[in-house]
Amino acid sequence: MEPDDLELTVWFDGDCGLCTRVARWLDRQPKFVPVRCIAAQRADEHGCPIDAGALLDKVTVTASDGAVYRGNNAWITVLWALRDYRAWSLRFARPGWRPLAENLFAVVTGLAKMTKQK
Amino acid sequence: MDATLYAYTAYVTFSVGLTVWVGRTLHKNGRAFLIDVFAAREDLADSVNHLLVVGFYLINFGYMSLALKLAHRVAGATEAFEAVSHKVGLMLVVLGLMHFFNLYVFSRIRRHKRLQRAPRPVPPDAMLPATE
Repeated sequence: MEPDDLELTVWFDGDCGLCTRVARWLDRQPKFVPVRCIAAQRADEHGCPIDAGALLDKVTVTASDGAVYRGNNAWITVLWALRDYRAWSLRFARPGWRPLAENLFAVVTGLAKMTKQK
Repeated sequence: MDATLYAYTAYVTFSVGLTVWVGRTLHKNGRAFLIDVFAAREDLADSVNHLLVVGFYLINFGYMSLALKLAHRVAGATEAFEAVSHKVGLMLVVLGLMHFFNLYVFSRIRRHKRLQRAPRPVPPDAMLPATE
């Protein structure tokens, strides 16, 4: 069972156009679990114990119970929080789907790097 | 009583019997399913089960009444038999469709609830001390 007050925080790259758009899209989605999107550049202000460099290196999701998800696991965990995409999250987490999910996220990450402004 | 009236009587008897049988089957076997969906809240499961069965009976008896009238009067026993068989056949197909529709509704409810209760699918890569 998941804790009732579980919350997720997505640390995204605030200098990347695609990441910012995805964060805004996330804000609009109906959710099972609350999700906050915070630019990794402002991690210190929000008291994130992970340093900004590490957050920028890979998409990172932190949960209010202390769990940290990075890269593919971060993507899957965010999708799990969304009402309309939880079924996809569970599918992507299965061993047979894992390679497809990893490729898909690699493509998105590649696109995100291309839209980086600095 | 002429052959047409006999045919109507046979049709109504068959249809009511079949509908009640399918309805009871649904009621009896759907219960376990719904108890799982409603997280062992038996009162809620029984209530939803009952409501579904009432809807099922309403639709089927409604269809049965509407489909009762024969296009032409039947002359003899053979024609009466054919007419009843045709009408009962239609009734069976409608019952079958309704039955599968009910199963679909059950499985939709169940799938949704399972999704809602699913834990996080991947293990964390690291643990921080809890913030709240």
